[in-house]
Amino acid sequence: MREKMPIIVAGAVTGLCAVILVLLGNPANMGFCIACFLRDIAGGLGLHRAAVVQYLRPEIAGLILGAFITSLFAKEFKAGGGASPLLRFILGMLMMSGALIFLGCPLRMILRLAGGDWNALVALPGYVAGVWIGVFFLKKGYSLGRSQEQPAVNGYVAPFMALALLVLAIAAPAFIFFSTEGPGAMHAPLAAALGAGLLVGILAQRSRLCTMGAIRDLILFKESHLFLGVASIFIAALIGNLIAGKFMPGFTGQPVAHNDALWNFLGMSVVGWAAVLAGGCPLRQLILAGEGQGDALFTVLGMITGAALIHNFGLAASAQGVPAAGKWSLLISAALLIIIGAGNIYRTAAGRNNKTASA
Amino acid sequence: MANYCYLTFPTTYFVLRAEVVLQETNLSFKLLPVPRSISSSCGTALRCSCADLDAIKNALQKAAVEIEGCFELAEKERPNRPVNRRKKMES
Repeated sequence: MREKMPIIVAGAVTGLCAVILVLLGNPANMGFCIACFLRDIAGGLGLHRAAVVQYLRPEIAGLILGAFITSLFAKEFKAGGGASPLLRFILGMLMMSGALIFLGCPLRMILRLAGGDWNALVALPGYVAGVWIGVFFLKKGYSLGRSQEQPAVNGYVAPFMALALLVLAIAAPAFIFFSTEGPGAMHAPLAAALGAGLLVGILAQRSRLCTMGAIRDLILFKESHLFLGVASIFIAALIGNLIAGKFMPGFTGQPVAHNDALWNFLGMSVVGWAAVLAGGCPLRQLILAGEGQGDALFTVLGMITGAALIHNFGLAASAQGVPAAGKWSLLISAALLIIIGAGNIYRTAAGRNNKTASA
Repeated sequence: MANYCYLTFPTTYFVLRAEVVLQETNLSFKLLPVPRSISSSCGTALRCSCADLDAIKNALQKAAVEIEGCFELAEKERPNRPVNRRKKMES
């Protein structure tokens, strides 16, 4: 039980912080949403011009910096990368494509469930199905290769970027966009958002919280350690919502959500699948980036770029539903996942060594 | 007090390969989350009795399964509470 306490505590604090951030101004059921927040950051930087979702969410900077600080103190900071960074960038884009169809990352899916948004009940089996498909590729020998140790300066890029985002959010120069209406205009005070991000970043790094790993380990090894963290997020957020009067059960009229069940399922399937191939859910990618993993930062940059392109091309879902172009883009994402998965299967060790030599 | 040896691997691919290789032997092992005292990785480690460690490493090396690290954890009588004393071994 003692070994399980850190992840249970991390999950509970994450769930409670999410509820508190909503009470302080974040959109409903969106105390944390890595995909939505990266999309909002893309908007804040002007990478897309969807006026209702532009804000440099301090939670993201907090998560990266929290992980960075605690990994430094624990001597776990280690700059590394070079394991298929371009493919990880693409996988980040594909994760975002699924998330912007469902309108949430896996963490938000859990928070939506805890808020009574039953559309997440359809998305959850989709996420599990996606992870299951990704695990199929793992069992066939899929791997993006081994990360190489790099000079420390490589590992400082992510925390430096996070700090820069924070400075821009505080200074608010004219070239940074701030929504005046819509979800982008709904945010907790900067200090609270940053504080919550730092706290969750620290706890997530110490506990290795990962929504994808939770499902993956159950499927592969019947291990429930990471799943305890996910369950803890849900229970804490549910209790918090019930106490705060924010539990609104139903399928329709849910905040920043649609009730197209098929595409909620498929959207989260793509997220789960891409997360397995990338080695971590969106939250875990941020934490790994803070720990110095350049490959994870590439995934995060892919998510930001993907969000920008998806909004610029009109592919994102909204409360009105999923546009036809968005549906096609999701099917293209699935096709790309098959190509990336199949293209990185090492059937034999000899085959892998030859591949490394020829590269 | 029981000593267990843990092997960590660079990627999940090698964990799964290790499982397949060792299932063909009569060596006992368990796959479980990497103990937090070993690393911040969210991956999977292989635990075995230290007496079997060399045999397991030989079997894995013959099958070209890459091992990242090798650790020994001294565990108290309650196996769920490993002592935070770890020794990084030569891999």
